[in-house]
Amino acid sequence: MFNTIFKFLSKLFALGLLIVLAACSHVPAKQAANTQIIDLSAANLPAVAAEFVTTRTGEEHEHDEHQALPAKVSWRFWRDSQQITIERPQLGLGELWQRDGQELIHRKLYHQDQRAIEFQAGDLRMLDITPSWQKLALLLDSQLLDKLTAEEIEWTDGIPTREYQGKVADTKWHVVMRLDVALPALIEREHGEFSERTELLNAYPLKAAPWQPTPVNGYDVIDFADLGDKESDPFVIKVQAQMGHEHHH
Amino acid sequence: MKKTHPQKLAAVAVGAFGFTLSVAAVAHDHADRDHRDYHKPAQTSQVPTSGLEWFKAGEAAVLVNKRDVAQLRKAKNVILFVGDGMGVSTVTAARILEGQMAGRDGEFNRLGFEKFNNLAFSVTASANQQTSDSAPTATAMVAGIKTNDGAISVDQSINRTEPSAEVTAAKSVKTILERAEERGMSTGVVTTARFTHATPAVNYAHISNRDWEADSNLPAGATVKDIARQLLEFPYGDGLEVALGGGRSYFMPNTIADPEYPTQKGRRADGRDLTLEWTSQYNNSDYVWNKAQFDAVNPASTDHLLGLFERSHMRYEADRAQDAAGEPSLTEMTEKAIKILEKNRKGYYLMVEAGRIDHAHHAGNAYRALTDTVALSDAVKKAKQLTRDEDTLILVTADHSHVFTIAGYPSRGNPILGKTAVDGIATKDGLGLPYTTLTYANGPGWTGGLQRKEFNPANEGTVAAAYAGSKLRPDLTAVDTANPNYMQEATVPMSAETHAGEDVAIYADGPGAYLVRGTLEQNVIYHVMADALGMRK
Repeated sequence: MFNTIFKFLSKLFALGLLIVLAACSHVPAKQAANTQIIDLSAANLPAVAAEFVTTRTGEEHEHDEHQALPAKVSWRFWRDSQQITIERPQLGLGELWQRDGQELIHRKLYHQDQRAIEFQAGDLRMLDITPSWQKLALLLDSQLLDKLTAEEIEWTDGIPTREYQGKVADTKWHVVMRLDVALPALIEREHGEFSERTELLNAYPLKAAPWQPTPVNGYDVIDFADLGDKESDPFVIKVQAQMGHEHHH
Repeated sequence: MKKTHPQKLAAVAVGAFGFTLSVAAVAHDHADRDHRDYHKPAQTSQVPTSGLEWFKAGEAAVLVNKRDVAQLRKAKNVILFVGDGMGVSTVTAARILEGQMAGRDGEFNRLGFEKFNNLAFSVTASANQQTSDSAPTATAMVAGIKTNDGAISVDQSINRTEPSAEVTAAKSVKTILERAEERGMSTGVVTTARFTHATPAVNYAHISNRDWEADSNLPAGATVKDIARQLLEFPYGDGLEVALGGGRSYFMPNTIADPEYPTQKGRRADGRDLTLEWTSQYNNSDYVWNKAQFDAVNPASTDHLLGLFERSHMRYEADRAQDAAGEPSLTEMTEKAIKILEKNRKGYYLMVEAGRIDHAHHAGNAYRALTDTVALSDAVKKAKQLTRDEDTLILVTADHSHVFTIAGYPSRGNPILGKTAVDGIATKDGLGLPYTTLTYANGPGWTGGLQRKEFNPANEGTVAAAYAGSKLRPDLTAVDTANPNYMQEATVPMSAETHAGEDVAIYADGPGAYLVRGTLEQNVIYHVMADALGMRK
């Protein structure tokens, strides 16, 4: 039932976004002596906060399933070694991914209602939604990068980047990774009449982020598995009505 | 986590009359069993292969039923197995799946409880619902009354959100478990759902709203105790002897990290750690939260066992092996429970719930619903092995059904999770497309074709979705519908598949089981158990 949401997220993460890094970036304009190039396959990526905007044109057709996404979405991203948070402030929505040992715990956050829906590892498995932590943390599947042609590292205003281009399964990709923070500065993908562009607006060390995730400690957390037994809960009715449907195989 | 105390002296006075009766009963049972076995074609794994063999098998089944006279003696023990959401179609499909997974004839296979001698239909409508949720249906089974949606062992005159402890007490109905405790019997509840979930909760809690599982779920100013707290402050007898399931976070304060998931904390706002209170308030008690600890529990020296194996629901059986901390199976929990409870010479009452059949159906996932049903069958088999027919009444039933169907005209032996086929050739629908035997009348598996709508995150609403091609259904030709994660198609679009209102089955064996016949209101189950235990006034 929540496939659409997940698909949307995965598209945000793995597919499209574009980053315009430099102009608005908080990172120094010149190469700093201590700037490190991060191995994108590293187990622990730097703790960062970032702001992105995603724009789309056309309609996407994929396996007879379609996403009706807004033309432009701004969103924020926080990442540390155990937790990834995404918020779309203008919608009052958020996503939380937590790594706990070998398990992945996911919550969809409804800030206006101060409630959350939690997906246990088994729920994610049943829904065929088992993203790797690396994919969530990079906002991109590293296996996809492996299939693209990678250019040499370039330094621009002290920031190391690597550009990737290519075509995978009828989709044309253009990706720029910022290697100092291990985040995409730009993701562009096109297939048919559809195109999507996600760009990084700002990136900060996590401790220096000018904004923090909305506190969720007091939220009433509902299990995904319990939604079917909460047929009289107004919040659940509202959320379920909003979810739409997507059959997956 | 373990609290030990010198073993209490068990009751040792066994009257000579009782001993004689016992010996006689055993002798009779053995003789009868030998005779019955001779006529048990329904329990053989050999499939009849001719008209004559089918005829003889049917004739023999009637002879078995003629020979099985009613067991009129009182039951010492009662075990109530509940498959949450296990409608008749679920039982049938699980029977076929179990047989096919074992390489046998699935249609001829029988789940453990399907071999029971007594059967009835259970009418599941609640006091205010045609199709019910688990709270009133479970209340019906353990409290003997029909009540309203969401109600946990309180009558239908209560408001759904009644916050007052006094009003709730006035509306409360004593449960079979509470009456058993009053009589000095041992009691237990085992579930794969949260221990505070509706079906297990009805045994030991009284509250108007099933969702009030921890104090943080209660509305401001409420004086009624949350469900988890009611387990620890249980006022009857010496408290439950066995409490096994999930839902650990509802028993832990929100300041303490979970032992299995250190990034997560409990849900309790009152600061109480009910897991610690369990071991402090009971002698010879233990609290465990993983498989190794569970395996280490010695039933002979443990009188009160609390096991909470997940923060929320336990794993589906299909996913259980992947739990890092390890979880016991429903069969293992049932075995441990019986071995603790059977120490009491006054007998015991035990409810065992396969709580996640319901969840898998809600998610439109037949595979997990059916494999959890098979797990329930295994637990029933274990209970039968550990108990005696002459003193233990075992009931197996469901609280309600689901809109789950077995459709088309597949050949015998066609994979139950597969596409409908006759002699291996796929049957096509009116659009010329293959379809699965198992589908849902509603739920998330709706495919919708040209009518589909999709979630629009811009306004949290839905918009019409473009649709490639002209097909009204997906083409499943290349789809592996037996994949454990496959979501069966549904006719009506709903984010969660729903319960169904048709009757469910009650299977019964043991003393008092003869009372299970015909079409019974669901609350009759309580009265059958009470009658068998000699509680009827």
